[in-house]
Amino acid sequence: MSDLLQSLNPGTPPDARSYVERAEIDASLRAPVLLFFGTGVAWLLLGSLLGVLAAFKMSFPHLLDSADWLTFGRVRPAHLNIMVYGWASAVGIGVGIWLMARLCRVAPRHRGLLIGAGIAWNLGVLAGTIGILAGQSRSIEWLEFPGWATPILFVAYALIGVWGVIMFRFRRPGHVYVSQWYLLAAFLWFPWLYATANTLLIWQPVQGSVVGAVNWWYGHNVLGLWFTPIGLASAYYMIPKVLGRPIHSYYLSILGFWSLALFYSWNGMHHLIGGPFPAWMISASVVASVMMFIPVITVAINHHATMRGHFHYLKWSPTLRFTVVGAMTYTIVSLQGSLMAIPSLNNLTHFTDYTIGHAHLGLYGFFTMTMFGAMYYIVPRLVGWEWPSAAMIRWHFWLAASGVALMVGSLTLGGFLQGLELNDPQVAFLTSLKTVAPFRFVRACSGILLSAAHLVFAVLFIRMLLRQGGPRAEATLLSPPEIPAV
Amino acid sequence: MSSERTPPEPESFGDPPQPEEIDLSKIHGSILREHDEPAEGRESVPLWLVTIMMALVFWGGMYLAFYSGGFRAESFNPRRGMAGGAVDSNDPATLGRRVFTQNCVLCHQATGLGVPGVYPPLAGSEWVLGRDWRGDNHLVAILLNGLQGPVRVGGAAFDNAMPGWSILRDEEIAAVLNYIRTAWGNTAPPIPVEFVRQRRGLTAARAAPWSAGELQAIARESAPAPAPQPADELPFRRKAAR
Repeated sequence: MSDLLQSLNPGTPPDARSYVERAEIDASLRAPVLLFFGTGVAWLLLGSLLGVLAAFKMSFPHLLDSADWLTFGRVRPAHLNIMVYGWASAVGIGVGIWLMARLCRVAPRHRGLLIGAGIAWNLGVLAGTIGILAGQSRSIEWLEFPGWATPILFVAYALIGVWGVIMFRFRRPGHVYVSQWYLLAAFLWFPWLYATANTLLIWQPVQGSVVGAVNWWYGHNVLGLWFTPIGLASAYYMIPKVLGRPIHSYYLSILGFWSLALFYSWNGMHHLIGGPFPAWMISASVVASVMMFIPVITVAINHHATMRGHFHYLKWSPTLRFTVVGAMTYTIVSLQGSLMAIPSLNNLTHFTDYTIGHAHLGLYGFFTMTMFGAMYYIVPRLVGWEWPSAAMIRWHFWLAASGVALMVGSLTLGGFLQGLELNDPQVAFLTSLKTVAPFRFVRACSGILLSAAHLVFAVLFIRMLLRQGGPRAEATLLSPPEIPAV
Repeated sequence: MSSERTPPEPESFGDPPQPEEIDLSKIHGSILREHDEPAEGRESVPLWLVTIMMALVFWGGMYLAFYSGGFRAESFNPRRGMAGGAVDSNDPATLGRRVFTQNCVLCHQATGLGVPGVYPPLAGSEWVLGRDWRGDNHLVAILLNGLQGPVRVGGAAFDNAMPGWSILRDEEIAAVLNYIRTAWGNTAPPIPVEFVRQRRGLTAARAAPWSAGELQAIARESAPAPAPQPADELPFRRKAAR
């Protein structure tokens, strides 16, 4: 037996027991995870299309405005909600449940919960999207889905949360890895956020300026307490897993996790600087936003120190390249966000395209790139097949990376100039719009690059499911390695 | 019963076959190839990070000390710190300006000059300043119930309808009246909250707006000079106690 193992992959410890364990976990999660991934990719394509359309409408206001459902006021929230719930949340759930099961080292129970949740989740997103395009948007940012769609999403989410807790409860005894903390927290945080926001804004609506406070408490926490922990859990897993080295420091992991948990949920009020809110609410949020330096620097050190001396792996491993680019972007976008919360800088960036650039750097540059990295690792194990084309992975990476760089670059520079002019009483408002117009056109073009990246990835994903490209003995790498692949 | 609640041993999940029974050729290469599940090293937290953290904590405390508005719900000005003295909203001038901006400015304009022929001016208005037969009681009555029909202000004729503002609290009515009596060059003595409360009680039964003629039929009354407000009787405290 051990001879066979050695011949399959020399250098691997002959621990057949762990192979069986992994193979079992992967096999039992094949259907639910591929359900979340597959529908997520479909939503990604639709969301990209709507995003590009909304972006070009900023340059050509009369583009496709003959039908009500294609007007900017519907296309733009449809784009946002599809990306947040249809793509990012779905792929995040897929990655999250796989990581959780792998790290709990037990074949998961209750797969039916996950499949039911996956179907309900997609029905909820579909119903909500139709609602928005039909003109029933609730006009509360990040919560535009009409009230009759959100309970479906909540039920779907509750099923996943319950599954996550059961999974963790019946884990194999032993060390609980940092990714598991983040995932368990995310599984508990998101239903809390979603139920609170829906109760206070829809079912028992609060009045007046408190609406804004609840809205941004929710909107920012979805990024910080849902997407961020899943993205970090994935990076914390993929980097040491691909390199085969331990993560740098357990103590930094603890510090990063608990400081995120302590400070993040205070951050949302920095969207309301200058608004009609008691001074302490805004100032507490400013302080908490700057305090986010602590978890961000901590996680950055931990990841960087693990990578140190191994950056050449980025030439070969698709997983590592997407993940590390995403993790580095996490550091950049978080430090940028902390600075944007400081009132003197916020005066410049508030109500400009700069903020939109920041949002895309976070949700795309960090989260989506990290999720692509995780999918490149997970899908071959679920399908039992290697990625059919290294060239397509390279195209995917460079289209996505250049697209998001161009988008964030144009929005940031344009937003900066726009902010300078908006703050200058000598400059007419119209002038600031003319200044930002060419940047908005470039941004719309960057959306084409991103859509092309998504199309390449979708084709690659379908070819993968169809097991095209011939069997490969080794992992599909971005370029031929100069040392033997591990 | 209790034994059923304890989690079964991990081995009972899925009952993985013994290694001798596994056909490894059925397991995909990516699973055989991968490294063990990740572990964590035990490097200590670098000293420079601890230094940065302590500096941030110090900065955060100082920021809240200077810009928290004393953690008071009614303080909207971040520049008022813990030792920032009177809170803005308890300052009648600030409250009056805010009530005016929220309710009156649309018609009477920020300049207090109104719109000629449509909305009467407040700046220099004999109604506001209490000239001739017009007293403090008339001004409070207009605020509480509104004024409808033809009226002459500053020599110009107007014929419009002003709604009553009885929805405002007594403190807010007193504050906005004192604001319009001291803004735009107006100089008239303040009207105390007690006087507004007394007038509201007297006209509580009335719902319709006044006409100028009706008001002229009422004798002029002046408000007594306001007594200094004790510190624990600030308007917002009173609201909270209700």
